Amino acid sequence: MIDKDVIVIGAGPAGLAAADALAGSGLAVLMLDEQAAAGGQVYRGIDSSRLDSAGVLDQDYWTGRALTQAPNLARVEIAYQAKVWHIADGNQVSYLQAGKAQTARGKFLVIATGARERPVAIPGWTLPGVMTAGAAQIMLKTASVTADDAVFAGSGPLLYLIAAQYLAAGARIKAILDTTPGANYLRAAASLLPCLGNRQLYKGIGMLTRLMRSEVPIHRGVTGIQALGTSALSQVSWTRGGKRRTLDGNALFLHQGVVPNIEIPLAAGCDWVWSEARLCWEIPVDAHGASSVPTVFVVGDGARIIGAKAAVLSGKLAASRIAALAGVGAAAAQSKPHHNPQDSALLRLRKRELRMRQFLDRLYRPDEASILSSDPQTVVCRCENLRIQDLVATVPDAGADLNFVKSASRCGMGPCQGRQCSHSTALLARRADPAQHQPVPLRPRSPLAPLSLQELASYKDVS
Amino acid sequence: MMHLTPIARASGTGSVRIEVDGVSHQVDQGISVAAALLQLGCETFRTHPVSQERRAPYCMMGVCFECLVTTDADGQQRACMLSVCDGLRVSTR
Repeated sequence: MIDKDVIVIGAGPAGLAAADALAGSGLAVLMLDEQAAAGGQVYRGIDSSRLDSAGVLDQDYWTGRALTQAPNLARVEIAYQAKVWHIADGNQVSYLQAGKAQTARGKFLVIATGARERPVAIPGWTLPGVMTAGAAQIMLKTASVTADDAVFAGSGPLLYLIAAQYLAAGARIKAILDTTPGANYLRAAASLLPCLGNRQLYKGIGMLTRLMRSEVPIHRGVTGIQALGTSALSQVSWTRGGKRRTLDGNALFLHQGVVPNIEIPLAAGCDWVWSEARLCWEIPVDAHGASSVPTVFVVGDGARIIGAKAAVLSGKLAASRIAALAGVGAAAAQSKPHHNPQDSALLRLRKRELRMRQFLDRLYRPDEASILSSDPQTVVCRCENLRIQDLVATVPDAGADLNFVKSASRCGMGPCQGRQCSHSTALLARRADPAQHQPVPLRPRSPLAPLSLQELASYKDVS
Repeated sequence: MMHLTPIARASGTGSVRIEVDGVSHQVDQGISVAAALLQLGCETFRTHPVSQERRAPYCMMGVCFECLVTTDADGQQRACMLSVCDGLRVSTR
């Protein structure tokens, strides 16, 4: 058993900021990440990118290097390609690295598991050639490639950002299909005023302007997107203004926002809540990331989608609180040990970011029919190949508890363990009974990630 | 089939040789097996065990498990979470 003061899970912006600050306070930190390098998804490939002078990725991306190269990380023990498969007692983390299973124990746990793209259950989304927009960006950042004549479809700032990066990389885009509901613009307008001082707003406007001035056809108010093809994608079709349109294409990138990766926080025993505003489960935490479990802090997008800038702030705020609780660092020297003087500035900046987030949440709240089709043939659970029609019989009896749906249908029982179906199943439950406001998420089951018997046999920390 | 084009202004990188379904290919160093296979024009990564449909990567970030391939090092692995290395043997389907 490895003993540390703090174990940080996730080396994205929130985890890196927390680990750096914790190590700076003199605490012994172990940071785990499933990827091969630091940066998370937003700064993916930051230290190995071949696009330094290509003008494809903007300054916001390159600021990520300040995080991955932060001075105190040299004192952090970092394990990459580490797969967390079990959490016990809110402070013991079992993980697999290089074929070896082991357990680390910390006085505190900082969970920074970030976000994944929301599954977009539309007809044909399992066809080869249909991927997430995030997948397109990962290929761009880490393999320096773009797909020819791609169609980008959905809603949300990331969709336009990636399309703009494609244009900057010299790629041809066949079309952008925007599913943002018209009513969202009115709802969001009320929260626009407090964002006028935020640079991100102008960056977004500039990006949209560049896209609109380009030759890429942008279709707004799109509904009913379908991916068509037999063995792979060959056509994309959609409805706009009552008219059905079809376009030939072999690359479709879908995006409907991102949702928190709540599996590890749930495994650590944290409470959860379903957000109607953002149509996803979230982990309730205070401004310092303190969760319902006293030893567990959840920071960044893993608790609630707040964006990379606020994620860094939340990592620092959690580190400050943990340092105070552990009796080290700047806060411990104060007369009020729980108040670090530097926190006020961080909290002010956090508030500013959250105001911007409220505007984005309202503007890009997904159109429910665009994230879960009404076509009964649509696959919901990719792993078990279960369609809407396979689930409608069990969902009404499940009382919006996804664990019952799983037991009755196998939905969420495959290798992804519900990561690609649970949000869609929750929406199905709400369709069956609109009074269900708190769909119950799947209970995380260990191993949290698939583990071979050989890997399990290497486990020596059995107590 | 999706066609991937290298970004012209990207700086160069070394290459490694991998074997995909018995055929040897030269691919960029440091990329994931999933990205390499897609660049080589590999359309199908696996056949779905339930529906027998063809599947290929969806998320590229380790979440969806659609890119499972078999390597000489290990059984079913997510191709998006695995980096290419010289001499790696991969089989799809």
